[in-house]
Amino acid sequence: MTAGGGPDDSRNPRYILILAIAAGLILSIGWVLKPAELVSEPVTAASQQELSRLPALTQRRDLEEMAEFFGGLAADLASGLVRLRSVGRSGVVWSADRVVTARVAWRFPAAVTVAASEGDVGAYTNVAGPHLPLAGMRTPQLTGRVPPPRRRSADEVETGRWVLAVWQAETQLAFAPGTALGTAERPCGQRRVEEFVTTIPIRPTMLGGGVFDLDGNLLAVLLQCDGNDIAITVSSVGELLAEGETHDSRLRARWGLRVDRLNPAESFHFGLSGGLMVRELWDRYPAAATGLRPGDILVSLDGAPLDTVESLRMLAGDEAPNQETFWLEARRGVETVSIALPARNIDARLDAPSPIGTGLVWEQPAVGYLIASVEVGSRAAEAGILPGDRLIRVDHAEPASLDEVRAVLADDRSEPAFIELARDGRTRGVLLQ
Amino acid sequence: MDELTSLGLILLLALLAGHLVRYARVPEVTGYILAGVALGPSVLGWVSYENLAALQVLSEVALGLILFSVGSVFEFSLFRRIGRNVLYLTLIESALAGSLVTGGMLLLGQPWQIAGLLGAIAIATAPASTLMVIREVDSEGPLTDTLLGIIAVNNLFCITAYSLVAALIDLTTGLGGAFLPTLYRSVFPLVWQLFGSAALGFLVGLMLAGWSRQVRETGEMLILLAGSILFCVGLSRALDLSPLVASLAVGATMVNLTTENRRLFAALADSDPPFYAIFFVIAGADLDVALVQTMGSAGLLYIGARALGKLVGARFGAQWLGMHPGVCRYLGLALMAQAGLAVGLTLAIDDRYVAFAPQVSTIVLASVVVNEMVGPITARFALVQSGESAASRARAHAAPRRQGVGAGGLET
Repeated sequence: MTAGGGPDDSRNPRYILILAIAAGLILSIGWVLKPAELVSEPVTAASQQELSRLPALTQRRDLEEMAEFFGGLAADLASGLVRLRSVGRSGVVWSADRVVTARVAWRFPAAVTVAASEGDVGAYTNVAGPHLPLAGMRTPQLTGRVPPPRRRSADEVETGRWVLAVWQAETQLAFAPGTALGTAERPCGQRRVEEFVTTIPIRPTMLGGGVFDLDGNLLAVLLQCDGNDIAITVSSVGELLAEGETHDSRLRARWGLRVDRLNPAESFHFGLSGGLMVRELWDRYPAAATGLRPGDILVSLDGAPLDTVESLRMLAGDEAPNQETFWLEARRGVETVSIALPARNIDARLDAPSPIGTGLVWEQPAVGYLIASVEVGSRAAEAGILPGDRLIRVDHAEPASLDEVRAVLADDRSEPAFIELARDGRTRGVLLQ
Repeated sequence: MDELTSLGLILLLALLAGHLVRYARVPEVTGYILAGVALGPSVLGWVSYENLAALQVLSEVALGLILFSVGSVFEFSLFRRIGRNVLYLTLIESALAGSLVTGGMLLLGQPWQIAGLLGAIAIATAPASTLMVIREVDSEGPLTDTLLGIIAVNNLFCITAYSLVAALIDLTTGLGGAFLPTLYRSVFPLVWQLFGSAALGFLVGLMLAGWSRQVRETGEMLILLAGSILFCVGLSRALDLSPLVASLAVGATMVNLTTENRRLFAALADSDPPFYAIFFVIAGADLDVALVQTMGSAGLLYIGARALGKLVGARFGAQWLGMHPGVCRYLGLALMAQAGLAVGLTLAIDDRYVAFAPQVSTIVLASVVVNEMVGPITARFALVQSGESAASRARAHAAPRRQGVGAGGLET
């Protein structure tokens, strides 16, 4: 600016032009040579604290977006989930006219109200019972209205994949995301099931809900097995439903009665070749209320001889027959007894709610003799007697004293004895040889 | 309070404060700053931080206009006459002030990086408040010319010294890894801010000078000027240049390239007071008075060492250079003010050196409160006492006449 020899020189156009070109060059070259970080330096300085919070804020936003994604996915799956109002539990729409949920307490109501996305519909229970971890209901009114979710084998899900547990809570849909860890076999009552193991902690309120993959396929149903809340794969659930639909299982679910043909030893012991032996009765189920006992050998139903479990089909029917009472003829030891089974309204009669308001919970008085331990290899052990069983009757008679019990079960006794045992609300009979 | 209301309040209270302080023989600038302190978040809180941020753009315009005016000191004929002396004198007073502050800080046990950064910042003298005092007392004379030259040059020295200290810190801490890239990254901003800004200012000044020959009306002249300054400040910010240096360069180019400059500066002087009032009130509102209590011995030392450096450096430098006695006696007092550039560099340190920022910020921001209040008062005192203010000149004219001696002895 001050180049040149004097005021006049400083206004010489040639000098000005040279200076202007020089200035332009300085700016252009300087801009090109500028170190990269100077170019990107922010004009307004954010405080260091804010800067250090930025990564955390970004991660938080990512997590919130993720939660939003899972919420959206759960909302898409809502039509595949129902709420069973009367039992206060979530359920999964399994097929067009069937809903599956987890077992509730000892007895599952015969009829329930299902709150689905399409409104409330009635459902009747056709698969249930203490021997199963689930309950299945027919929902004819839902048929064609709610598409059931597609099912996918949990074995196909790779470990580490995202999965989403969804269930209908009291008032709204609830969900919990997690990742798949694989499948594992585990015992569940008398059978083995396939568990779908995930990182999702399963709480009792989630029971009856489903585990889905990110494509909305049902992978598992949340059920309770031996007191543990677990996810059981759809293939295992299918097997459980098939088991629950057998004649034997339906007889159990309806009457709390398990019968079977006599084995040769039993035939020899009781001196009978035909008939069906009552093997197990469940407390608070209709069969137990009629006075039947384990060890009774059912000979005829309404005059028709009984040879196979199938011949009791009439008892397991869903629809009420045209009669008030079934007549069963049974042999109990040397006696023959006639037993009347009500043909109608058996569920309503037994489902009468227990009076409330006392604030007290009662335990049934103990009956029989508690078996504290069972020696391995003894004939009691071989007969399937377990510690904790209570011995009620021996050969249809209640023992008078503990000495009599000991004498009957002594290993050196050569005669067989039929004993009745109670455990966990079930009474069963065993022939001790 | 919204921006318009706070802006109106700022202008009215600035005027009121300006009137009030005149009775105390204190410059109007100090009144504006005091009004700002009172209105600002640290006292009454009528003008909030949000308002200040919104009004910051006006403040930038005002600073651009101020430095444009300061740039006129580089008029070729004037600069050829006093330029060499101004350069030497600035070098002496800057070096002394910087060294005293740095040395004092080292003696206090501060790390050399903090001592160096504070030394560099101590060099700066606030051009805005000093120029405002010059205008207010309408001073003319060797002290005024030298003062204008020094406030233009010592800010350049300050930027240079800061960049050199910063480069030294980067190189010794190995911040950027390899030596040469670190050196390049550290030194480039200095070169870019000095030469790049001067180049930009020259080009904008060239455009302004060329266009001003075609403009006849004062209003149009103002539009042209305001447009050029805004363009220059905005562009320098976008290019990471120094708006301060660029505006100086526009003024310097303008004053040398066109005969229209007097008309232009006169038009500017008629219309820029509101901007300056806003600028100083905002500057005052930005001051956090409570900081003064926290500055501690280091802050006191900074203020003391800087003042001593400026006073002694200016006095003995001027004597050594054989300058006018008025310059020798009073120049140091006129160099006390410190504001914008010091605060700007503190912000840069906040960004660049997190480890040293808290101490540097506390000391500089606290001392700015003191220097910005005291500086204009001492500057006014210096200009009046040296006989260069309009009132002094009038008295000097009147006195010889009463004694029957011809007037004009003090004309320069």
